[in-house]
Amino acid sequence: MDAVTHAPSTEVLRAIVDAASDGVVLCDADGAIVLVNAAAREMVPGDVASLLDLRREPGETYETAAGDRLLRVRREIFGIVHQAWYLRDVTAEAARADALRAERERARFLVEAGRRLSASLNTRRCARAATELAAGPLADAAMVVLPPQGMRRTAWLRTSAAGLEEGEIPVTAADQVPGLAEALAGFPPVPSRWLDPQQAPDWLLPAGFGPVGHLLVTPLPGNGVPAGALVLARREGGPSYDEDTETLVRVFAARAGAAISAAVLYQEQSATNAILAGDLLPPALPVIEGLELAGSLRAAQQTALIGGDFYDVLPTPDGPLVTLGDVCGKGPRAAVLAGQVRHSLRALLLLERDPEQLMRLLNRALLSSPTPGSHVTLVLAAVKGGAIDIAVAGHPAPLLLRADGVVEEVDARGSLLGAIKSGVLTLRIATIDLDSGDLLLLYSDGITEAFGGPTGREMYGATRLKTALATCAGLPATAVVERLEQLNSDWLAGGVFDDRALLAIRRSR
Amino acid sequence: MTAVDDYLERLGSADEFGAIDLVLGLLDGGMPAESLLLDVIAPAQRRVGELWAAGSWSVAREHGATAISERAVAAIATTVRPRPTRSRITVACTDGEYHALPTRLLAEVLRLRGWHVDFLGANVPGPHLITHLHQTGPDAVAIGCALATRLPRAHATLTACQAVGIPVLAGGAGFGADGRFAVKLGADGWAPTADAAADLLDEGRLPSFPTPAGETLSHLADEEYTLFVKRRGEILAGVMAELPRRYPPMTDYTQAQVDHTADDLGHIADFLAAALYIDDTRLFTDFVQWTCDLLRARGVPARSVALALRLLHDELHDFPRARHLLARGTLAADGA
Amino acid sequence: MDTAPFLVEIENPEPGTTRLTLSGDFDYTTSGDLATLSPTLMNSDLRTLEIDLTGVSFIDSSGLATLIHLYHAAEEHPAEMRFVGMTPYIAHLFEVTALDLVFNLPTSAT
Repeated sequence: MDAVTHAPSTEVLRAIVDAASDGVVLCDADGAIVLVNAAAREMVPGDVASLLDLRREPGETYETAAGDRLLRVRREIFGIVHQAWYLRDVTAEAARADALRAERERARFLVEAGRRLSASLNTRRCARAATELAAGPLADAAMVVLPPQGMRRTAWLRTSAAGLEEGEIPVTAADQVPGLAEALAGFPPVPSRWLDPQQAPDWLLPAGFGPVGHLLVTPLPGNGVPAGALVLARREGGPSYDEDTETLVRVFAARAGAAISAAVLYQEQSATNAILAGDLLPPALPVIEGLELAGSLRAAQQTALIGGDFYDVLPTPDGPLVTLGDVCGKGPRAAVLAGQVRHSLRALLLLERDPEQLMRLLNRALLSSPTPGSHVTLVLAAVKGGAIDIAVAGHPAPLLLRADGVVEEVDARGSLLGAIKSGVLTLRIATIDLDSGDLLLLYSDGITEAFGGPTGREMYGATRLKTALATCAGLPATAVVERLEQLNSDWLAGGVFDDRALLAIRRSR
Repeated sequence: MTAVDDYLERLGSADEFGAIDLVLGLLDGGMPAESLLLDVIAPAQRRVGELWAAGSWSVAREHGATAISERAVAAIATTVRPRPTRSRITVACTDGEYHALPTRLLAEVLRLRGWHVDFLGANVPGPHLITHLHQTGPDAVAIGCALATRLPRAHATLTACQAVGIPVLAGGAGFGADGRFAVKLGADGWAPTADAAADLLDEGRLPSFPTPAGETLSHLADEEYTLFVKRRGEILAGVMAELPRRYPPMTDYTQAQVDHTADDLGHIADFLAAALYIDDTRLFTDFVQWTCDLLRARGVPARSVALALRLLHDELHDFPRARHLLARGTLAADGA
Repeated sequence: MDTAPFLVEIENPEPGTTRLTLSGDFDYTTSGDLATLSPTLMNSDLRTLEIDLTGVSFIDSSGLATLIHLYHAAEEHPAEMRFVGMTPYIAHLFEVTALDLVFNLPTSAT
């Protein structure tokens, strides 16, 4: 049987085109519409001609809006008499892509927010990060009002096109913004709320911000402590907050709140620590006529810089009493005992100024201490004019650098304080002359017992310290201490170290 | 005589009061405090460094001069005390860095320009700096590093500061004359001088939050740096044992001379470690060149440096990158 | 710095005598090991407590404190505590702290 081919009739062709799910619009060479299929009529109930862009190249695709639909249109040319436009409704596809993009942006925003908010434990830095993150994606102006913490005034930070601004408001001013006072107090719990822009007091927005379209106050939920409030403002005409953005604001506020409240807790605790540790830090050395004093203290525990080594210079009517000591142990526990020894000495000094007697009194005080292991090594140097009485208890003897560069070890020794319950404290007191240009160096065993050197396993030792000291003749006391500490640190070459203390007394020329 | 020469002369003669009187006099005469710091004290201190390097001044004299300049800076700071009008900046020397004066000058310049400055001083332990940053929340931290050997520790400090969200401004000769090490370590900004650093901060050219650094030190994956630092002791002990055989005069050295040689060798090792860490040949060859000049100024033959480098080269079988650096260093020493 | 591990060896060379042989770094981080042993050591038979420090490479103030603690415990028990071996470094340390005047030291080391 022959295969017979019949060309389809115009009616059949029209029916085929009409049944296509893509819209088809056929025009003649002048652009007059000769055919619009059913799909095209459905997509564009009105005037379809306005969508047909004659400037497009054949084969080119473009997107155009028709009512609330988004259409993808392709122009084709057939011969010289016909041109066709194919229309596809891509509204849903585009919406999905938009949603995906928005979702990705939200995820990216939250990742960045997490990174920045988790970095610092400083309240101001956290609040600043929160406003900088929110300004742009969430608002034209973003403000964090920090919790007042029992003060009359409270701080705020704000980021907008005007940059970062900071200030304070009286806590009572929070009443001017509905929901803000509750958010700052953390009670009663209030949801975030929209404000009538007219209700905004001047201080809430940057100068010259213009008319406000949307204003949102969101409490920052903290970890059991109020973390303040987030205020977001968009200008009139800006996009309104849709449901997704509101959800994003809530998630963001939760993160910012957690970060700020952690910072608030840290700040409170570190402020308390700083007050407690303040007394344990090395004291500023007094200025004494005719003497140069310089000290250096390096604690093995590096966060708070406190440890078992200590020094002090206590004025007495006879002249200063210089002390340097080392209590058994490390870190805060040792620092507390060191602080007690310094206080005891200060009190004992009101009754007794003789170094030997002071040592005996301190020994008895330590032996009666309820804390076990309250052992202390100590040097006391009572400066009286040109002479210095030196008592040493369980501590390396001080070194004397003469003006000509000769180094001598002070011939004084005695037993550790607070250690031996039976028997008496044996002490050998020395008296030295400190002439013009001479320097007396008190140091702790952390210096001589520093492990390091070329092999990393060698002890620095008293001999190296003496050799180094001999090269310091003629230097001011501060330079001597700095140089010795530097040489010692170089010896350690970054290795672990014990608490280290140096104190130099030099008679000025 | 210029003010710089006059000041330098007073430093040289350890005339502390004279030096302070001079700067306070200039201040009284109308010289701005910033120029006093940067155009008198800073250049004089540079001269002090050069005089020491040339062997004209002893270490002790140099230390004494620096101590006096510290006092002079303190005297200016107590005389001129502008009220802070700008936000807070922390200024600190990196861990292990004792050359505090250049960093101190930056702190004073910033203070003069109205910043609220916390100057933490020399040799600031990393953990302490971080605690301080959490407690005070500054807008930036300026880290000074005078010697390239402190770079690995400076890097640790720098990344720790960035991890707590504070941008880092790097400064000091340790970061390279052109700041290339600051860039490599991911600092948020770098400035060659105190006034350039102050300008950078004044103009708000630091980001408010550190920009995350890329993988800039991927060469560290070969672990040469880690292994070298770990085995530094035994490697140097090996070289010290070999030295007297290759350099007979050493057999008669006193303990102090032996210690001194060990010190010099330690410096070479420290610069080698820094060059391995940052992966920069010029860091090492510049150091070798500088050491040879230094030794020559003191009448010591530069030959000894080349010998030490060769011995180190022989000792480091499994360290291709270090051997390359040492080979280049030996060339530099031979040419010096 | 690589630290040498701290070890305590306990022997009874003869009835009534306990000998502790210590070695390694005896410091803040390790001294607790010996301190916790103290009650067990002070048994009813103990008359002499011998301590050998020959193998100790480093002692810090916590190490010394533990030795003082043992000394006091022995005194109360009562038992005699004496040192049977030490290095010049430790002898020097005892001298600096003047513990050489309190402790019963081997004559050769001082």
